[in-house]
Amino acid sequence: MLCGEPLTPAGRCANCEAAVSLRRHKLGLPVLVLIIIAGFSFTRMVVDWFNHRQDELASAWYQKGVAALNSHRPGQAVEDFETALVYAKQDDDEYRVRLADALLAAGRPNEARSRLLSLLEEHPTDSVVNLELARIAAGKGELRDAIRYYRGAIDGIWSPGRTPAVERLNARFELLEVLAANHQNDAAEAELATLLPELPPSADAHTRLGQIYFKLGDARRALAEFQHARQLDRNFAAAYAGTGAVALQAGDYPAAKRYLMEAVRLDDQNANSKDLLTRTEQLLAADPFSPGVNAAERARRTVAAYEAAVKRLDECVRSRAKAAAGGQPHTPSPEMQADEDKLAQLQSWAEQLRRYSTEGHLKGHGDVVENMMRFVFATEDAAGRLCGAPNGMDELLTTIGRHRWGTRK
Amino acid sequence: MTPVERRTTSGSPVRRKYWSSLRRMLTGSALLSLREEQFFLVLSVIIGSIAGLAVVLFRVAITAVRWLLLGTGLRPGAPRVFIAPALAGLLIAVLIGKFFPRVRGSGVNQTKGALYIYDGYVGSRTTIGKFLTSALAIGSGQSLGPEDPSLQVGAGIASLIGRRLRLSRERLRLIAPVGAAAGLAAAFNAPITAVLFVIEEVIGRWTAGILGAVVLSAISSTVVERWFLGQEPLFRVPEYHLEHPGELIAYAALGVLGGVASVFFVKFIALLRPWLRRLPPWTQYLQPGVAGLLIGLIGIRFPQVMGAGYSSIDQAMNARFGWEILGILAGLKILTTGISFTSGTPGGLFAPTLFIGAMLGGAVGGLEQSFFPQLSIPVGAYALIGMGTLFAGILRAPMTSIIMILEVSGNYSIILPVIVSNTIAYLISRSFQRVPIFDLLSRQDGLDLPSLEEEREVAILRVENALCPFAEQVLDGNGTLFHARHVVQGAKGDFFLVKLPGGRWAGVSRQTLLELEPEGSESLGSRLHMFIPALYPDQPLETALRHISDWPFLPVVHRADPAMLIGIISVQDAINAYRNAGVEEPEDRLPPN
Repeated sequence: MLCGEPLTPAGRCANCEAAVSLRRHKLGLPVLVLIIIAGFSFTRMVVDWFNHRQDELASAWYQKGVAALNSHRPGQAVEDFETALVYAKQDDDEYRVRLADALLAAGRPNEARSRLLSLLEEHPTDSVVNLELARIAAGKGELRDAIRYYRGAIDGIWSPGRTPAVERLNARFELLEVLAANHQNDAAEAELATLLPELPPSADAHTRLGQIYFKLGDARRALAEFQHARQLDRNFAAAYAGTGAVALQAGDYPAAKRYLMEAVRLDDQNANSKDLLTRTEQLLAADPFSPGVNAAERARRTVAAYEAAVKRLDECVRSRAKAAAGGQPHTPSPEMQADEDKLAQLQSWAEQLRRYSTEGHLKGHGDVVENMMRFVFATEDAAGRLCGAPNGMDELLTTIGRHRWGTRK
Repeated sequence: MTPVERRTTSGSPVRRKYWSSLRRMLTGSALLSLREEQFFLVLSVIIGSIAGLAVVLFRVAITAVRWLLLGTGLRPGAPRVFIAPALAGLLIAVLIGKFFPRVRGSGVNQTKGALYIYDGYVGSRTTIGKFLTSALAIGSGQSLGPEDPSLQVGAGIASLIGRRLRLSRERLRLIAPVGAAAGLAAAFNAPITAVLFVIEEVIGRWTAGILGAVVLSAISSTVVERWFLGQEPLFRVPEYHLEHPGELIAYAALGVLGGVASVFFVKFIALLRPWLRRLPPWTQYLQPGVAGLLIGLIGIRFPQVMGAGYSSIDQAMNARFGWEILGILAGLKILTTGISFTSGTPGGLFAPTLFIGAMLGGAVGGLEQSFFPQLSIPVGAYALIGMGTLFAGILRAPMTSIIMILEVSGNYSIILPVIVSNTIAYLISRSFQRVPIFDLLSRQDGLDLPSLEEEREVAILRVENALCPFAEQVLDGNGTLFHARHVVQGAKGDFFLVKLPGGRWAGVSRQTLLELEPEGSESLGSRLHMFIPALYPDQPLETALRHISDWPFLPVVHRADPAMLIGIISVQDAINAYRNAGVEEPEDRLPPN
C-alpha cells in the first residue's frame, strides 16, 4: 500500500474494496426503495391525520373569529382569524379577507391593506379583494387608488357563492358614493352612464340611484328616482326617507315631515330617518313662516328667534374682542375691518328692532316680522362665518334662513 | 410468436436497443452496470427522499408537541406558557444525559465535524435523539428553530445509508453533506438556499464532485416535503418594488443596525455558553429547564418569541406590529435564543436568526414610516430584508443570505436592497467578531474545523511571487548542437532552457548536451524529445509545485507570447515564497488546550 491511499475504518485499502463493494452496495438499492415505499406510506398516514386535524382547527378558529366579529369584538376576531390562518393550508382566501375585515373593524387599516395586497398579488382579478382594498383606499382619502380598486372589483371575478351581477351593481354604487362624496361629479356622471342600462327595475336600485343623485346635488333627478322606487314598491321605507330628505333640503318641511313619518312607520329601526324626522319637526317648530301658523304663534317664534340671534351676536362680538385683546397689537386688515363693520351694523340693527321685539308689537305686523327675521338670518349667517359653526336654535335658524333666502352669497 | 411478429418487435436496431434497455432496467442489471459516480447520484436522490420524509415527520412532531403542551391558539394560556417549556426542558436534559449525549447544539457544526473528523459518521442514536429532543424543545416553546436539526437528521440518515451500503471512506465523507442539504432544503422549503448553505457552512469549499449530488438530494427532499405539506411558503411576502434609489439609505441603516445586533447576539452566546459549561456537571440537568422557565416568563407577555416563530415573522411582514413592539421582540428573541441555545437544548439558530432579522427590519421600517412617510416602503419589505441581513451578520454566509431572500420572496427587484444591507451587516459583524458563530461553537467544543470564510482570507500565492530571473543564456532549438555546446562552455549553470519553435520549451542538462552525438546539421531541438512545461505568472504557486518534480526549474512565459521567457521558478523559490509570505494565524484558531 502506498502513502496517501485512503483507508477503510478497519485500515484496509478503501479503493481496492470499493470496486468489490460497488456491486454489493448496489444490491442494497432495492432495500432502500422498499424503505422509501414504507416511509411514504407511513408518512402519508401521519400527514393525513395532521392535515385533518389542521382543517378542523382552522374551521373552529374561523368560526370563533366570525362569532367575535359579529359580536363586535374585532380584536378577538383578528386573533382568531390569524390562528385559523396558521392552520388553513389551502383555499384560505376567505379567511384572509375576513381577517382584513376584522383588522378594519379593529381600526388597523394598514395591516388590513398589507394582508389584502399580498392576496391581490396572488389573485389580481379577485373582486372581493379589490373591493376591500377600494374601501380602505376610500377611507384613507386615496381617491385614485380607490377608483382603481373599485374598477378591479367591478371587472374582476367574484368568488363562487356570490351573485356577480348583484355584487357588481353594489360595487358600482359604492364607487358612485365615493365619487359623490369627493365631488367628482364628472367621473360620477360617466359611471352613471354605464350603470343606468344595467339598473334592475327594483325599488332598492332606484332608491340607491336617487341617493347618489341627491349626494351629487341633483335633487330633481333624485326625487324622480325616489318616486319611481315608491311606484315599484309602495312600502319601501328608504324611498320615502329619500323623498323626505329631498323635501327637507328644498325647505319644504311639511312634505319632508310627511314622507319621513311614512319612512319611520315602515321601518322604525332606521336611525337616519328618525334623525331627519326629528330635525324636520324642530325646523317646523322654529320657523315663523311655516304654513298654518297663526299670527300669535308667528310673533312668539319671531321673538324667540330675535332673542337667540341677539345672544349669538353678543357672544360673537365678545369672543372676537377677547381674541383681539389677547393677540399682538396690529393694524387690522381691510377684510377684518369689514367684518367688524358688519357686526357693528348688525348690533345697530338689533337696537333698532329691540322696541318691536315683543309679541304684542309683532302680532298682525307681517312686515315687521319679515324685517326682524331678515335681521335674524343675517346675524346667524355672519356669526356662522366669523365665530364658528352654530348649534341648537342658531343652527335651525341658519337652515331656515338659507331655505327662505338662500345663502349669503 | 410468429416470425412476422418477431420481426416487428425486434426488427430495427433502435427498437432492439430500446427493448434491451427496458429489459435491463426491469431486471436491475442496468442499476448494476452504473459507474460509482452515477450510483452516487441515484443514491443522493434516495437520501433526499428519505430525509424529506424524516423532515415532514419532524415538522409534524413539532406541531403535535406544541398542540399538546401549549394548545392550538396563537396566544397560549399563561399557566401552560409558564410550565410547559420548563418541564420539557427538564425532560430534554434527562434524555440528553441518559440516552443522547451528542444531540446538544444546533447540528450544523456537528455535521461539519462528522465530515472532517469522523469520515462522515453521524451516529443513528444521535439522529434519533436529535429528532426527538429538538421536536420536544421547539414544540414546547424553547426559542430555537427546526432547520439545523433537520440538517443533522438528514446527514444522519445519509450516514446510516452510506454505512449500511459500505461505501468507501471518500464517499462516506461526501454523503453526510448530501443528507444535510436534503434535510435543510425540506425544513426551509428552499432548495437553492440549502445547497448554498451546506456548501458555505458545512463543506466549506466549492467542489464540483459533490455539487450534483447535493443539488439532487436537496431537490428531491423539497419535492417530498411539498408533496406532503403543500406548496405554501413559510411566510407571505408582501409586494415590493424599489421606487427610488434614496430608499437604499434606509436599507443601509438597517444593515448597520443588523450588523450591530449580530455582533451582540454572537458575543452573548460566545460568553454565556462557556460560562454555563463551567458550572458543576449536575447543573446540566437543570439548565434546559431553567432556560424554559425564563422563556415561559417572557412568553406570558410576548408569546411570539417562543418556538421557531414563523407565524410571527409572517405577521411582522404584514405590518401586524408597531415598530416599538417589533424592536422589543427582536431584543427578546436575542435574549431567549441565547438562553435556550447555551443551555444545551437541542435546536437551531436558523429560524431565530430570521425572526430577529424580521423584527429588527420591521422596527426600522416602522420607524422610517413614522418619520419619513413620503418614502412609503412597506414594513414587510424591511422585515424581509432584515432576515437576510441578520443571516449574513450572524451566520456569516453572505451568498446564502442573498439567495435565500430571493428564493423566499421570488422577487428579483429586491436584490439591490438585500445586497446593500447584507454586505454592511456582514462587514460590521466580521470587523467586531472575527470568528463566525459555527466555527466559534466548534472551537468551544474543542474541534478545529476548516472555515470557508477564513480560507477566503488566506492570500493565494502565485507563480509571479516566486519568479526569479534566468541568468543563463537560452539555447536556440533551431541552432546546431555544436553551437549549443559552444554557448554552454562559457556558462555557469548545469541546466539550460531550449526555446523551440511554436512557443514550446525544452530543458537540457550540461552533461546530456555533451553526451549527444553530433549528426550533421541537425538542429538541437530535433535531438530533444522531452518538453518542459511552461508556467504563466498568474497561475497559483501550487500549480508550479505539481509540475516541477522532474526538472530543476520551470520556465515562466508570457501568456500572449509563450516564446517570451519572463523568468524561472524552482522548488526552492516556491518554498522561499511561502516562507516569506507567512500565514497569519487568528488567535481563535489556536488548538484548544
